[in-house]
Amino acid sequence: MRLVLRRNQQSAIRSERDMEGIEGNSSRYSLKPSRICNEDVLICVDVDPQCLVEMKGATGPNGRPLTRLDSIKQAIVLFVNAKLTINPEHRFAFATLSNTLVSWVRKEFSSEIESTLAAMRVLSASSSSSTTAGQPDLTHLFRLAAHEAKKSRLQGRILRVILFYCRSSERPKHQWPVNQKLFTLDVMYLHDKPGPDNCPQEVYDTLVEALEHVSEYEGYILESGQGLARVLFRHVLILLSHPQQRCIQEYVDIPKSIAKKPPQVEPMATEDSAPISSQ
Amino acid sequence: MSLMQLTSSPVGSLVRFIVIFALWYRTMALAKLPPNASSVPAVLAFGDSIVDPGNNNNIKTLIKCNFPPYGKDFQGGNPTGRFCNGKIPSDLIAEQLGIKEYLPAYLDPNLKSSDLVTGVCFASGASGYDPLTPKITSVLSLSTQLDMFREYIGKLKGIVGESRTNYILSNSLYLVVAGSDDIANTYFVAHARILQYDIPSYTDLMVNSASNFVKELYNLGARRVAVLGAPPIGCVPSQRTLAGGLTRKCSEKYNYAARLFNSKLSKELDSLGHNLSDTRIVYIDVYTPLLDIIENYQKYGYKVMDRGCCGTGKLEVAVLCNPLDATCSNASEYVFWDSYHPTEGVYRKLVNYVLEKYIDRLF
Repeated sequence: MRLVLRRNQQSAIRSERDMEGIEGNSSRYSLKPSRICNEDVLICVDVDPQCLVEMKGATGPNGRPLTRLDSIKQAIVLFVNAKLTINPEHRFAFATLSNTLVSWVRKEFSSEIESTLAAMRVLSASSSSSTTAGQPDLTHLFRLAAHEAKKSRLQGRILRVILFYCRSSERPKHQWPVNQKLFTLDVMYLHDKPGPDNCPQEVYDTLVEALEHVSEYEGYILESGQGLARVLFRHVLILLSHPQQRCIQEYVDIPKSIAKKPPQVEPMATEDSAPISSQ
Repeated sequence: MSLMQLTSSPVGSLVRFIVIFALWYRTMALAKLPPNASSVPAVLAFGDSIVDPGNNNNIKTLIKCNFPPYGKDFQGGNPTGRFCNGKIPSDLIAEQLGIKEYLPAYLDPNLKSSDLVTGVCFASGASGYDPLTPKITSVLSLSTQLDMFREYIGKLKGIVGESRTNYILSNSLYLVVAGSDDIANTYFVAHARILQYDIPSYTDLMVNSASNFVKELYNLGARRVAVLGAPPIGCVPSQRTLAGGLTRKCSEKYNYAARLFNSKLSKELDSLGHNLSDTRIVYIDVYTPLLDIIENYQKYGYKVMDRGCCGTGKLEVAVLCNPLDATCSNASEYVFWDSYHPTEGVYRKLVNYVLEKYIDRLF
């Protein structure tokens, strides 16, 4: 009892002393300075044939339907453009995930948007004839990432992996040491609507598990079964957040809800707003 | 007096005829202009992406377009940073007035002194009357554009002297184009003002800002100011997608906000025109003619009205309209180039309409 009182009294005294020196400032808050590392971002796209599923209500000027892969490409271009606008020192490399392995599309990390566009041009889905059935293995991706992450760290940078995953039923597998956390994994999961033939929830849960298993900082996982390009774009813009500056995902409140509307505002039709997935 | 003497004497008439003939020889359309308009020394433009020729190229923003397919029909395919396949309204107005073919960006690194004398553009894509609008998109605010204009005036005095500078400033045509991004981006998409302002009060904010801007231009020497109203912003393809429901109709609440702003702006500019001496300040209605083209697009020779030429045409603008996307084979069949901006053909129709209707009130 006496110890508790003494501590409180000391706090009160210190607080008064601070207030004596600074008139008018009843509360002070300061952020400790910290270095935010430049990022090397490895963007890995799942090129299973399911990435050719058509997006809803979108066709190109030539009448060809817009596929998931087309939208992913544009989302990546938007992401890289925005990321480089924030900080031109971030770098990007590109890979694909199929059943058997992870393949480089562009191995050298680059800060040029032209490099991204070139990578997107050559990115294509794997043909089903060359694919063996089975679960995709993320272990190879993680090994690649860990290898690159060591090089990034030597340059004072951090490595992040962004995985675009497109399968509605096949859960990825991975084997990874519990204590090795060299990079951060983000996941953007595009899937069909849940039905009798698939169970995206199980896939999602597996991806969450993998993400938590390997990530150095707070990794985000976002998902959409709506098949709308603009929802994908909105999600990808959330991934712009720097891993070292993130809150945990369940606290992310984007877009912010309008808590209270003035009574004179006309009732607005509900515009499409994508719910943020929570872990 | 001097002008009267010039026009009344035979030599003066001959000189004027020669000047007019020379200008007519260069630009056929100029024949429709009244005499005063044929002696406009420069065009100076302010505002947003409708007239931005590339000022955004070197600032840290996503709202830029100095890459293909933008500029597909401009100078043989040169993506200068104009938000169009070809010429934008400021180019077309400078062309029609016989001043020059293109109105360059003030921030163009290749700008020459001779460019300054005949006018430049200070506009920045995604800017607006609400100071929050350019903050959201990290572009140049209208007050920053005024600072650039003040700097421009200093440079102009260095080139042609103070007397000639004052003549240029007081006889040039000033274009002010803004309001679209305030309504579509700031108010409706970002919801950034919706808790503090309803639509009537937000449009008041916009009009007050527009009025202050015009007054400041007047204080800096402007005497012939054309202020364009908001277009039917609910009908551009991106806003159809975001706010037009399942069938992607024009968003009526966006268009209501645009019409309300326009009616207030028109009254305010009339008032300014009366109160400020020796000046022509004209509200330019672009809402009505553009809506007419959109609603009767086939009559005007267009085939596609609710999508842009770039990509799917339903969402892509700025960095999303990029070389990765396909574009339509013939932009002249489309009302819109990207999901936000009309094609050059539409701009040309609008500029011809505007000049025919308003030129007498400006000169």
